[in-house]
Amino acid sequence: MELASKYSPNEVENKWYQYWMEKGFFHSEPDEREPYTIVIPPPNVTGVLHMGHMLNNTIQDILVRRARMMGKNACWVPGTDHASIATEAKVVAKLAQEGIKKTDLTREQFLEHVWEWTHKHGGIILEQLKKLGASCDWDRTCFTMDEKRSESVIKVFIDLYNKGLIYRGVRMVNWDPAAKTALSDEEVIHKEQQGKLYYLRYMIAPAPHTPLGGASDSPPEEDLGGYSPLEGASVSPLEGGVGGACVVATTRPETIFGDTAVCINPNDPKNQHLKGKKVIVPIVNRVVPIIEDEYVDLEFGTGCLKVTPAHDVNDYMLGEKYGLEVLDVFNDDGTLNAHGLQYEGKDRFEVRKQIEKDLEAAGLMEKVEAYENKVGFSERTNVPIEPKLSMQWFLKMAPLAKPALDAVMDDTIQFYPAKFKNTYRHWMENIKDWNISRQLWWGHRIPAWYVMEEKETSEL
Amino acid sequence: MANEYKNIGVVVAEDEAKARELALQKFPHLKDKNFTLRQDEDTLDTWFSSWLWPISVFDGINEPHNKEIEYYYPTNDLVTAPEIIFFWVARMIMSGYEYRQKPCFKNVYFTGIVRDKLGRKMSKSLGNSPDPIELITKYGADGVRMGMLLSSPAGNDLPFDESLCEQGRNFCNKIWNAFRLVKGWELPPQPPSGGLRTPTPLRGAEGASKIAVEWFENKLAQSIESINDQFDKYRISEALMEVYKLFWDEFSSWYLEMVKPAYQQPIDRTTYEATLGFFDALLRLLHPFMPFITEELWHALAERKDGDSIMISPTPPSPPSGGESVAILRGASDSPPEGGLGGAFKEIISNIRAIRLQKNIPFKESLELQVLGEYDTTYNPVIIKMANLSAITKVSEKTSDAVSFLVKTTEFAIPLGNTLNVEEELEHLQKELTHHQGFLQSVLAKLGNEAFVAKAPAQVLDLERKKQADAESKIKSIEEAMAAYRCKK
Repeated sequence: MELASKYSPNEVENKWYQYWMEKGFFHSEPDEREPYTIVIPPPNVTGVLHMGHMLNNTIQDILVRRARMMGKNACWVPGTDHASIATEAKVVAKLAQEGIKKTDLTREQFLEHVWEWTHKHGGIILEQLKKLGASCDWDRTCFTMDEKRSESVIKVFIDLYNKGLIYRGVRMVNWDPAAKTALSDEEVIHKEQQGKLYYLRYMIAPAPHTPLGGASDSPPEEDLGGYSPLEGASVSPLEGGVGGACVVATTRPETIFGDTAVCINPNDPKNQHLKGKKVIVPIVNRVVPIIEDEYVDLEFGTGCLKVTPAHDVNDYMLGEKYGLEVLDVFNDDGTLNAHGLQYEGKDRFEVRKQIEKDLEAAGLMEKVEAYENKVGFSERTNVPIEPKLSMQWFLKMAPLAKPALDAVMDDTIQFYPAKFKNTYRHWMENIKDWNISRQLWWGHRIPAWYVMEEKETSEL
Repeated sequence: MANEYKNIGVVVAEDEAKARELALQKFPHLKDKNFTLRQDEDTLDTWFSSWLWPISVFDGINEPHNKEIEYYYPTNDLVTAPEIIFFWVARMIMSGYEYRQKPCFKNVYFTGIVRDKLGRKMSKSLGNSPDPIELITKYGADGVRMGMLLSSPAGNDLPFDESLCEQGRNFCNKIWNAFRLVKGWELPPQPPSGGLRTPTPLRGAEGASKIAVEWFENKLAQSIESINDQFDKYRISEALMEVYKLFWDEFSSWYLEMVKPAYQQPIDRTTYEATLGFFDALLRLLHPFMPFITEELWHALAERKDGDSIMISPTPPSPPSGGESVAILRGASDSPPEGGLGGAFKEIISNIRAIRLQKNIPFKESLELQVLGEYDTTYNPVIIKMANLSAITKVSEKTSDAVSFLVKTTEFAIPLGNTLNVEEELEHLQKELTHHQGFLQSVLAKLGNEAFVAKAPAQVLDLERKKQADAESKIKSIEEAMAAYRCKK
């Protein structure tokens, strides 16, 4: 064989890759040899190769090729992931360019578009892996939404449901207003943000016995879970009614529309005078009770905490404990709904700016300070997530986590480098239930069926 | 008027027919009623399918006892990024125990994050990621593969720079050229037989070559042991570095030089065979890292049949531990048994080369090496060949005009007496001095140019200042050398 004076990789690479494929060297079938198996971390079906994939797949190929040369029956299974959020977002964006809104389409029509997109762009990444020399058993290529894999997913869902590990419930979830879906805790990235801390004046309401006047058709207070709308109230916010104001510090003044209480620490000497009182939520003019709970940090702000059960996980827990009403003030896209009064339809961040001015103008803003806090962002769309109450499906993790934690800690499964064992243990020991439902169409549809019984005529 | 329906509960089933059956079981009163089923609108989290991946790719959920899942599961290694340890790795482990009561893999290798020169994660939005396919076109797949691994120990970030791929490509060229060198040597008439070569005991090889073959055989065995050990610890970058150095330094820079036949002379057949055997072993060690060039050269190394491939040929075996041959080889290694100096031959040769360079003594002029103290003569033929010595002599006192150096605790000396023509030497040094002075002037002129200094980036300025310092120290040492010669005169 005559050798060229210079090595020209491109020719050589194509020639040998083709040869390896023709000879079936990458293909594996069970036999009497010791197996060596790697499953590829499935890249997004419509993605393209990036440097992370290059590193990852180079290492896998080295391990597989070495195992093969050591006489093992090496099998590297390739495949792709349907990547529900990422793919759906790409198709929604593409349709938007064509002037089509997702909401204008039926589920079936939309899915047709996604499948078309998937077939057009799908598998490019696997072709790129061939250029790298990846010795995958291409005859075994899988896709997370192919028939067998879909069937497996549905089977597992049903099995876990029947075992009582999957349940449905209203929970505070991480809402992505851009993708309009709930996310799991792991899909939220917390970042330090330079924000503001707003000190809002909640005027103390007159004693409950004092008639507030106003509309006669207002329902009694009790029926509204402890608050009363103050239409036409004679209380002047500026003068603070009978007992002045309590000042509440918050980073999110746009959520006051959902406030249903103010909470103080019963041991807080500076707020003893507020015990048993009611206050008026600024702008909203809703009367809400002052509740007492040791959860409140004496050192934070003024020691008075606004309680917004629909939009903060801790407030939600307070709400559950004290039976507070939950008022969701946002639409799915992060704009305010009808609870937002004159701000309805405006985006949450726009409202934050506007309400700062309006509170200043109304004399209800004590002060504004620069403030650094952690805000959760969507891993996929990079917008701040909104804690939101929503009906979702969950998987109970604690029973599943136990053997999985042990296996890593006792090195049945070895981590390289071993430092990741700590990270793993910390998460596994504090594991929360997994929110497995997504408000998306691209993916495995949840195999749950709501039984709808025809109403009797009398019930109509 | 359309009928109205109320939701009375939920059933979970793979299709509507099954759901209907379940609904009737759960709510017997529905037998005599109208009811419909409305499927949940939501889909499942993407990770709810990939958490089953190691099982589902072998269809082990649907057919838990099929031949494939029984054979391939648990899988061996998972290679993934630490960012998805919870999304994916942890959940796979959970589903593995839930559905197979076994771990889904034995080892998890966490790769680092590929970052740019500024330490930022490479991403599409930042536009700081090169297109891998373009890199492959430019540097070859083997070059890029090597570039990815050159600085990527498990779990540590990989600061990526295209120059790493260039280094990979250079390595390919190095292998290519080494191969062409060997194949270009003049051969005894009968062609070497094909197939696997294991170096056989030498008969025809003489002197330096015989020792060289033994030495490299041992070197190779040590490296294989070390590579196996690195692989066992998933230190893949380190394994690559080991092969890289073995090929580049030990094999190319040392071994091939030791056995290289004299100009227009044929190489003896035994050494040639052994060299091809080494090449074969090196290619097989390199194959997992650089699959393409190794396949190409492996086919060029010997006649191959259709269907032969390096990728299905066995990896070079580790030497049997504690065996007699290894023990013998160990004696001739770089880390010799106590007291011996055999492995120090590289250091001796390097020192002699340095003296030649420093004293401007051409290679063709042979030198004498004097040894003072304990010395193992095993490597004499190699040293004589590679340093072009007339003799290696044990002396109790070195010649007065000799230049000496120490290797471990033994002193070596090269007498310079006859080899130096003082006049010539001075003339040569004068030329060199003039050259460096001129160079220094040009650098100083640049640094004296205010406009240049104001505009040039800091790195460029640093470089110029370094050039200045280097030139100044060169000039100083030349002047010293010249002064020494003048004294002799």
